[in-house]
Amino acid sequence: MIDLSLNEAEALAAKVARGAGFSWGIADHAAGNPANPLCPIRTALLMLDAGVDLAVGPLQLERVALPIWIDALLLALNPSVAYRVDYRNGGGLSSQCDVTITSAEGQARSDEFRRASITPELLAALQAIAHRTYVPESERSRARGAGGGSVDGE
Amino acid sequence: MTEIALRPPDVVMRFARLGASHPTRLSFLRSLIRRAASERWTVRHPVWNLNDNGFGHAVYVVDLPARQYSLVAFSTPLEASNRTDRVIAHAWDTSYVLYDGVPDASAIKRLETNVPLQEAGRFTADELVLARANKSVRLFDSVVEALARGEQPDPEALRDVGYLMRTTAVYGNGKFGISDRYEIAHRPELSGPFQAEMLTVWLIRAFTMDLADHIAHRRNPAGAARLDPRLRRVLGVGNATGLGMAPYLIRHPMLVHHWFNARESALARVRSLPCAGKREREGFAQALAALRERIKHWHTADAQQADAIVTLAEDLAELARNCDKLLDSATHPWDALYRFTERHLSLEAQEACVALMLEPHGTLVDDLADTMAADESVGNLVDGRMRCRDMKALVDRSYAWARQFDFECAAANARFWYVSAEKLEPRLGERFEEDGAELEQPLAIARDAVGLSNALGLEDPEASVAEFLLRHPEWRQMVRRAQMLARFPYSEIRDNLIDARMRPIDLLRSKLAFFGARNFDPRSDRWVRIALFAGEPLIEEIVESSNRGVVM
Repeated sequence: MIDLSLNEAEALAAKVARGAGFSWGIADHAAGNPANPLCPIRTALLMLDAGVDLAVGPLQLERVALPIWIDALLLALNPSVAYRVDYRNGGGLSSQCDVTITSAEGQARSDEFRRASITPELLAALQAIAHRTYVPESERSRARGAGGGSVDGE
Repeated sequence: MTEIALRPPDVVMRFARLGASHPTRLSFLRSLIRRAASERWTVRHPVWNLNDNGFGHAVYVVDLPARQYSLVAFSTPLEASNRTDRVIAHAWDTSYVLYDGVPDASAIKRLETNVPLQEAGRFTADELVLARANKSVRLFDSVVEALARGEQPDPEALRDVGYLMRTTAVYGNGKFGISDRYEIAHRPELSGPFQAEMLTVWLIRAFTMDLADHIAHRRNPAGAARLDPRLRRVLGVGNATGLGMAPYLIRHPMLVHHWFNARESALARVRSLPCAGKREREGFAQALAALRERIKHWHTADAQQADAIVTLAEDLAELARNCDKLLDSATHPWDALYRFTERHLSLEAQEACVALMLEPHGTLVDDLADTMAADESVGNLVDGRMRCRDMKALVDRSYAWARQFDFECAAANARFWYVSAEKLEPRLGERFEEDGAELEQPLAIARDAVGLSNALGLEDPEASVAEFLLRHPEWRQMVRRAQMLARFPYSEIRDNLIDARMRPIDLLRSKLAFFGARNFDPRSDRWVRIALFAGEPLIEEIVESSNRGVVM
């Protein structure tokens, strides 16, 4: 297993999301799976943007893909508000599953973002997607580079 | 007391002024030095394992009231042909980590196999900062030779170069597996921006000079001299910074606001003073004299910067001739002084004067250094309940400055920022001459602000921003930035980051000045050499410096 810092995990996730086709504004929040069932990323962002008030009652969603992402985004983007996400007929990694989101004000929750552990194979697969966001070097860009370059004899 | 307003962001956040930035007493290395002095930090090197040629490793331990940090330094042979300032190098004269606590023998062994590899190594949460530095060969060798002869090196040569080694990268915040910043940000001594990085460089400074002493002593054990402490204080650590640092300022709008807001608030406080005290006037005069002396040793081959330095010298002479008269002003003498610089002096001199004016006013402004960190997660949320009409009005108001650029014109669109596949480093491409613009990084803020305004103009004015973003997720980043800019006025650089004439070194200089860098020496339009800690107190004698009243 390879141990990643949170910063490395976030940077990789953003590139993978961009590489998978999300725009940067969404990719920055770390994500990836546009599909026919409800996209969990865009659903969570809409909830946050629109300021859905769960005190009024729970939010019921049908056919959400990979609903673990709803959990992740609500936690990452709005850590001051506690949510509870229940998967009604599947798990967080189901390709589609119905979801209930309720307010969890006052309940203890883990908001510790820690380092990540990842297998070399998975890391390589993710890096391959991240690689789609990089621009291949041309002779010209190689020459121009970031500046500098000559051997320093001083 | 009449309050003088902060300088508006339309004045402050422009390339030309950013590119004239000077370090101030709020710069990050200065706050670190003040804390070290007030907490009486001490340094020792319990491990010193270097051979006659200075190769091996050493451990420096800093004792703080509540904690210890260690610099683990490795010195290795390097072929002259591999000695390059570029971030893409893969071997260096020296390499370092700042270790959380004191490493035991097994930790040192692990570090020995990883630290010299830098990016190709792998690190743990026990390592806080990763860095490397190359010798400034000509100066390093001449210093060692002089010391080995039992003589002190030529002070003029030391002042002209300013350092024995140059760092080519100083990495923090989780890079290559080291500790994430959030793990240490709650510690008072590391809560300010880049404090762990500055501590690392301050310790590297001690190592570079101890290394020169060590080699000289091994060459001539009976007769070698040790570098005179007065000369040690002259030397800092060099640094070569390229494009890679520039996007940081765009990616961290809230943090950038806090840096500039602190400095501008400090300036406004000084300008608002009803009178100029005797001690403050003397402090200003001393700082002015010291700067005039220092710029005699500010060398660069860059024609534009060389001209700016010549003008700066003339302008500072003009300031020296006028400052008594200006500070005698009946009301707001410091404001009179600042307005004089605005009317008569170059941007370079105006920004130097800002730094000089803050210098004698520590008790008035130093608390602002504690306001320069920011919880950036606050900026993650978008207020999607806003109506599109109001959002458009907000964008048009906050980004009015972006309308001055004509994005129909090729010169305004000439560049694109990207990440290179080969080096994984930020690069600047020519949009109409090179491939890859479709993979542009989201840094063309002025262009995208205009685009967002136009897109919002096509929406039902009563529709919510949340609905708009559901249909147009590509505008999410700009909506977020715009809502942030309305609250944090210094969060955007108010210039065109993809313009044909944009010089990345203007961005680099601004950021480096906040670090506390001096002697800006642009080597092209996209990389710059600087010195950190030159002329500042030595970490190994910070307690004595503090006792002597050297630390302000």
